[in-house]
Amino acid sequence: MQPGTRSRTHGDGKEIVPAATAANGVNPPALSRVSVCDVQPSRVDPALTCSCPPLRGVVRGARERRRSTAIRWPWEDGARARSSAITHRRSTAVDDRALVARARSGDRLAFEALVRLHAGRLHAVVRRLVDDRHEADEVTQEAFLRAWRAIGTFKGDSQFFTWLYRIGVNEAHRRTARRATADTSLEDQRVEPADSRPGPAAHLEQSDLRAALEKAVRGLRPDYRAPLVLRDIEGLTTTEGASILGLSEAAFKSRLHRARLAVRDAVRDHLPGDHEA
Amino acid sequence: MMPRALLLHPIRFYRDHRLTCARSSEYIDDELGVDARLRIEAHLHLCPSCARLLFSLRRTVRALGLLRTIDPAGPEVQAGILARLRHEPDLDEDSGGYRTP
Repeated sequence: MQPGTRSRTHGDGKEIVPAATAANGVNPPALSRVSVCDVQPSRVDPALTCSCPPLRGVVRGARERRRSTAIRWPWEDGARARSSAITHRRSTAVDDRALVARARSGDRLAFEALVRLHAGRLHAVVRRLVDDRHEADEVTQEAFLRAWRAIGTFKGDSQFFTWLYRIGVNEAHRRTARRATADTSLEDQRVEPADSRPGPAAHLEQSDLRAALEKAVRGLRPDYRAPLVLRDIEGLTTTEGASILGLSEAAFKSRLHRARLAVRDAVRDHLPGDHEA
Repeated sequence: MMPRALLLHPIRFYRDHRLTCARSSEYIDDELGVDARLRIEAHLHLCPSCARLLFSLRRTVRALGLLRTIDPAGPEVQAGILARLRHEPDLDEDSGGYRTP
């Protein structure tokens, strides 16, 4: 503790109180509440530091300064969004169990609540596995109808969304295979994937990188695309992804690796600094 | 730590190189056992090609996070599902096979 300051414990952080003000008997305003993990020694203002071990380097606004000076890569924002969505999904798992139990007993409203929880997410996954939005709508609807009809067979061994995704992915693969068979005679005339026109994601952000990624993912073989979508875009674990696709974890990892290499080759020019590494 | 000369032995180097090329995704995802991870890490110090591979692969994976969006069509899709669901028979009826997907 430096001579000019005193500290007081407050939850997980501490407040620094200038001794000159505190000596007057007046309760001074708190400077900031910053947890120890926010400390950056190189930026510490000596006037506001405390030498006691748990509070070394606490400083006013350290968090704000770090935000303003740190280099932020666009994909890190995406990673943050993904992790928060994963957290959200896991937090709904508890709700799922109660709703699934009610739905299994025939409670239609409970199943409708499950639809509201998972429809957007499942649609986003299916959207990347089939060729157009209309088909994705149909596949998503069909997946939920199949889930409703089969909810009695869901034993709860896996999470509900894993089971639901499996139904959706299987339905998407069925449609893709059917379309591939139907299109065989037109193979020579096919020039571009059907979804090369701007999709919803392109409307949200017209960045070159995103467009290149979209194109690269859509250009993957379906059996490689699904692991990449589930693992890297949806943020599922390898175990969950392999379970959804009915693959061994080794096979899932192998396909995922090949898919990543293909995407990397396709977007290499859009990732800054890649060539200098 | 294994001696550098041993790691640079052509056979050892080749095996580690193949291992790194084949399992770099698992390395990124932290899904490797300790032995494989240590072999890859030792090899990365000696092989610029594998270091580049890992660097670019890691950035690709991070970039793919950009594609994760909540589908804006969610409410429409929900409405469609709920509409079709209302035409489905109740589960407790004798629906003859409806419980089978």
